[in-house]
Amino acid sequence: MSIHTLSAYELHKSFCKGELKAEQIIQAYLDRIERYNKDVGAFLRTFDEKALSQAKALDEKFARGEKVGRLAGVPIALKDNMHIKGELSTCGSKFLTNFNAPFDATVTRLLENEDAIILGKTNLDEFAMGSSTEMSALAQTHNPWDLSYSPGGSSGGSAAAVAARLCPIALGSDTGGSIRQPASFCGVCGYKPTYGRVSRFGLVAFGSSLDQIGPFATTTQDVAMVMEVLGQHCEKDSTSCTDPSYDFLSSIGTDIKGLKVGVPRHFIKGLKGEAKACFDKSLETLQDLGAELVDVDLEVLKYSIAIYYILATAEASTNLARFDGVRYGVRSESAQTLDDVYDLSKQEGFGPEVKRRILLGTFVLSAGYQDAYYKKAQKVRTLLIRKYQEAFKKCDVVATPVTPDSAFKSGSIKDPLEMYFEDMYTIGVNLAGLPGISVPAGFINGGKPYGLQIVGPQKADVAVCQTAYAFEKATACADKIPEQFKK
Amino acid sequence: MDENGYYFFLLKQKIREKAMPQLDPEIIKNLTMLSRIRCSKEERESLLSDLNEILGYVEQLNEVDVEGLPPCNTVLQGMTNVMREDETGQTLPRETFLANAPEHISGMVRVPPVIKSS
Amino acid sequence: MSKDYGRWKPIIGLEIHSELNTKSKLFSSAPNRFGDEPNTNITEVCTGQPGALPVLNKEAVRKAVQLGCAIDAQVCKFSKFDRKSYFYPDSPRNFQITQYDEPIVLGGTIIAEVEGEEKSFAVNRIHLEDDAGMLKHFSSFAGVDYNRAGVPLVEIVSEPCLHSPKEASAYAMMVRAILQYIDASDCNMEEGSLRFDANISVMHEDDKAFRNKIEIKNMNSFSNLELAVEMEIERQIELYENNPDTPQDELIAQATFRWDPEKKAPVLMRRKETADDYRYFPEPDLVPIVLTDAYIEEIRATLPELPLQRERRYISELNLPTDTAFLLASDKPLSDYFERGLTTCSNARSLANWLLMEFPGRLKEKGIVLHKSGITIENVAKLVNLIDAGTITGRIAKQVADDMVANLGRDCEEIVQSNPDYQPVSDTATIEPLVDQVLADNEQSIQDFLSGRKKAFAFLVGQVMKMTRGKASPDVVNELLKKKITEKAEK
Repeated sequence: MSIHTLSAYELHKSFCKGELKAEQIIQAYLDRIERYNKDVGAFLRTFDEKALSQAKALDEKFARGEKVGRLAGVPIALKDNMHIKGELSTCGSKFLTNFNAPFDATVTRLLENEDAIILGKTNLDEFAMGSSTEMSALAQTHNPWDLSYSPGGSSGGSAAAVAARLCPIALGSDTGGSIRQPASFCGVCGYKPTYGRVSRFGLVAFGSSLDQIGPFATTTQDVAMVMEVLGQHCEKDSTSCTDPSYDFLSSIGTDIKGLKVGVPRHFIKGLKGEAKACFDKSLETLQDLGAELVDVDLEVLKYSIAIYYILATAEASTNLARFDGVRYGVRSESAQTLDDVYDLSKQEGFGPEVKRRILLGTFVLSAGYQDAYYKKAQKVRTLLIRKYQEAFKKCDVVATPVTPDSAFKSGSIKDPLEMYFEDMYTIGVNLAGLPGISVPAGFINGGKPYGLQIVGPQKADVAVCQTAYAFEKATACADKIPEQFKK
Repeated sequence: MDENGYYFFLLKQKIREKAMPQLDPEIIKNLTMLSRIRCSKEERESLLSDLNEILGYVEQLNEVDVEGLPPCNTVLQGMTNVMREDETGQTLPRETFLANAPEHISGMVRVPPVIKSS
Repeated sequence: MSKDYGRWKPIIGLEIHSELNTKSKLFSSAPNRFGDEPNTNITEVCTGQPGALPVLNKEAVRKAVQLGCAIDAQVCKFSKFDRKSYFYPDSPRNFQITQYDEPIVLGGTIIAEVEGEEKSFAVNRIHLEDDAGMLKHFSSFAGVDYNRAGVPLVEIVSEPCLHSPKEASAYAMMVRAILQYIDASDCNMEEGSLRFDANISVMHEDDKAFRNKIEIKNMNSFSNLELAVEMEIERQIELYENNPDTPQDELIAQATFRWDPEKKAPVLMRRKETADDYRYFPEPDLVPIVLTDAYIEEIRATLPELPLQRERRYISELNLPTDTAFLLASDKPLSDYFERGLTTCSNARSLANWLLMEFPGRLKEKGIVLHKSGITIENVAKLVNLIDAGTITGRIAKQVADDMVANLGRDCEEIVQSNPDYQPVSDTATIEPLVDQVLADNEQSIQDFLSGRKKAFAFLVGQVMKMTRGKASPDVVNELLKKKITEKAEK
């Protein structure tokens, strides 16, 4: 059996039975990365030596009969906006090409405490702003299903890494869809937890009230396994959920008979072609599994992009203010005065999308405009949250498409606004702080993956994963591997 | 152009018909000053048209009746009073902090001279 | 007598920033300490590292609530934090976390003694915010130290209800005192843990609205505060009076000055043609503070004695004059020192005088404060007791005090005993011949006194004292002189 065809759950089991050694597993993946990363461009860097020595140590620990962690034997990749102490966190930006994280992210600590082994850091749109990973200033990532197509973004590197089986689990971050959209494009599972479920300490902030870290995997069972480790209260994050860790795994595999699935038919009426056909088929599958479809009114979601591009950019404009070339990052060499240090470092360090969003965010907060833009958007956000709450009175989860269509060709979308539309189905979920998953639903438009999104009320993370797993088993497309990367 | 691309095309037309430019070059200049990003004239022009388009799109929020709606400051339902004990914890060692500093001197981060009263 | 500005009324508002003396910073668990090596009291939070998040210090909240209760303000049951954006190297994130529209305390009153009268001043609000780091200026570069970045601050904003430099400094002194009494801050103006910014304008009696105000920052002592405020008031009045036809806005445009303590003058920092656009919005990384009545009441009920209460106690129980009582009570370390002295000395008035006038005058040159000088209160109390017992005269006591200052820590009794010049002479046998001498040399004065001029007697006493170099016991001298003059008159 090829190691790379196994899920993380299976790898962990095999390791714990003594069937596979950690060093074997890590070496297998490092070899694959060596072979394939130049085509996919998923990884920005790997920690070969460190990972192998950690693997060796883990093997020795196991051999001594010591208790091993819940992720023992599992290699994981992290998006390059999450900190591993002493390693680079570039955020895909020229600004931070020399920035060594001075501390571990909470997620890093949690993973390492459970004996997971971090293989490397993956590519992303600069500062997580984008939906194609094309905004990375450092590398290009390609969709493993068709290398001339985009893997989606901003967590395109993590999605592609899992799709090409370069590692079984990768973490991404999701502010408006940055885990779910690439998951849909790359034919893998991508999960965004309830806001606050996973600590943001050590994640470079983009939209503070929207960001969440979540896993990519080839099966929802793996998502559940990782979420049990990551979903903990964190004292260093004031927005961290105080609930004890949820028990995901025991619900995995239970049926969804009688589950009420809300469908916002009016909102998604713009869906056309093979995407629509796939979505309709997904709904039928859910019904076959015993779920009951219910119509819900989420018309308000048509405003979600507008709300998002006011609120997220406002938060981002202040979150990125700290990148000024004073304390860290690349300071412009031409800087003579303090003003130069600020102005030039930012001019040289930030890409066009980042600049666009910072200026927009500054505008919507500025005197004379804040009421009309920022405050207005905050109020519509309240309306959106209430509409979701009303919907969840009628149903347990909501099903929608993840993306308007399957992946687009790299370089085909030049208009910023057109790119923002890629997130039209995912953004509302962040605005309301809800848990949402993208699970592979089929292949359309000539063999391109397409996902289904399941959304739950706040804290219904387990129900969302349970539903996704049942669906995944019924459609059996989650374990398909792109031809080029089968071996 | 595929089905969903056409949908977007129609939407953009609608925006162009409705939208009035919100920003003029002066405002862009002011924004670059507020956010401390020095942009070339070409960059500012490109940003002006991008931002106008995006702002034209978000105008639709004016359709929404927000009478009586409180602003949403947080999605965390009812979470308040998250505080910590007044205890000191692990500090960031100075060497680690300064290792990322572009310039430092005598334990301080170094920047070009700052005029005290401008 | 308070100064008269004619038809003008100064309008002064004070913004006071005080660092709280918590162990750790406001949102970071780094130590809150002054004077350590640069960048040794930092964490990822207070250096604005990407990925760092703020977590609120509960003790800072407590102290802010205590302060609100101490000034009878409204403690707000709901308050939250906001981001205030501006770029400066001492700001680790280029935004400060502060409280903009929903602060923790609203309103409040400061009662302070101004030139013998108790006056009531209104406070507008108090809020919590984090301090910036320190920028150190050198000729070819500037260095940034983030030790101070993130230290908790309370900002106390008065209404524009102060109308003279004396009112401003009395208000400021009382605020400092309250902070000291509730142990919220060490209020060290030299170290910057207490800072004053004043907003000053003047209003003509015919005006319907306020005129433009000038902001002056960085006044690091009460006397500098009074001086700066006075200078600005006079400057503004003069400008307006000498240019009655020029529009007000042209004469005084809003601006910010920094007070230069060396030059004893304000230095222009920036003009406010365009107000800073801080783009305040709610801090998304923090959740609101919601306080219960029980929490607030518990804090109110456990407040320690406050300066006003202590001041009133000094007036009613110790019979101290109002201004003395205020000056003592409004300096907690000094008044604690004073109260310890009262355990061994019952002459409160005299003790107070030594603490407020005699010793500070002598210590000024050395630049140290009495209660930190090494001169113990027990020693000062002893000195007062020596005078009251007649062991030394008042005049000798002043010389002893000089010696106590020259040799900090030296015991006053020991000083008296070791210096023969300080032994008062009360031996009648020694003084009598001197009295005779003086009387013999000053016939005229005797006559003057007998014809009713009381001053002549004092002159004679003075002459005897001069001959004994001040050591003669005044009582004995008085008695002897009276006796001898009476004898002479009877002759």
